[in-house]
Amino acid sequence: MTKHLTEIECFEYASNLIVDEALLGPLKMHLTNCDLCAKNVEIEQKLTSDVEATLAVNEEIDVKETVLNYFTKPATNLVGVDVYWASIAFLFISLLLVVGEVTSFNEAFPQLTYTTLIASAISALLLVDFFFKYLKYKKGITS
Amino acid sequence: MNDSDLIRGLLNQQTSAINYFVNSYQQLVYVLAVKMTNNKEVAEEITQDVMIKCIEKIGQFKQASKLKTWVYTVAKREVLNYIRINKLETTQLTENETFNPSSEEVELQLNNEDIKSVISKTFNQLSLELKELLTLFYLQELSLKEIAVITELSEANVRVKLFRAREGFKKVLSKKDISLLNQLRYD
Ligand SMILES: [Zn+2]
Repeated sequence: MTKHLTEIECFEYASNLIVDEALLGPLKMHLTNCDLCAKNVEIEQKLTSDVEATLAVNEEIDVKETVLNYFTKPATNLVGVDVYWASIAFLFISLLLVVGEVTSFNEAFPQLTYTTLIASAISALLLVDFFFKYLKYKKGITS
Repeated sequence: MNDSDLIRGLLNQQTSAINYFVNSYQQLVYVLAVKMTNNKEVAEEITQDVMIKCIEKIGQFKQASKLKTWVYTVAKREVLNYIRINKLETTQLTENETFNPSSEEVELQLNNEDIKSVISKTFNQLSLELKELLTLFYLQELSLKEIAVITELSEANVRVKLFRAREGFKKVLSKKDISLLNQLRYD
């Protein structure tokens, strides 16, 4: 009869850590003939199931909502913010243009005679910004 | 959905891919986080962060390893960061302290509840590294090779550590440290 299994062999055998057939064969052979080692392996298996049962986590969680929200918000926000700022800018520019038409205003504040120029510059910048944000947003959806 | 379809979907942040990914991996991450932090709320928070991080950084995933292994690696890093930043208290004793049965050893017949208390008490006193290792081994059904990749240890080292942790459980279970048992009974 071959020699008894060492403690580490009992543990590794019981935990299916031995995959090499050359090692596994003789161990199996010994176990069929030796009650002592078979008993030790059984104790190891019992311990494994005790440890598994004790450490098991029974609560289940679901974080799908939070994760999905995280990834959908930025895209809608981007558009939302742009629409918001575009409306504000539009109102602001209209106001400037209206004010620019008032002759008495121009006389009172000659330094603001360039309102039309200022307004065009601001709207051009906003348009460029809006265009790039839109491209980025579109890329995010379709790529 | 196979891994490469899933990864493509995640790169595009498609809702279906995100759903599938979270469904498949959240529980694995949660279990690891719970066992390492011993705190359910914190573990849930970490799980959310890990899911988001994995999706954001899916481009960094090298297809040489399994997706599952990579998710664990991200999860582990996140748990350790969380513990460090929030100075979370996790009971940590060195292996020697933990596995040092008292000289007054007594053979005791333990019932199932005692066995569970002893195992969980012993587990909670382990180092974070061993907690991680035992969780991966006993609860996540990973191969030795996968555990070695996640823990960045050699396979031989994983074997030895698993065996030592096992010995620790056995020592406190078979020849019970009587002070620990008293502590459990009067807790
Ligand atoms: Zn034998």
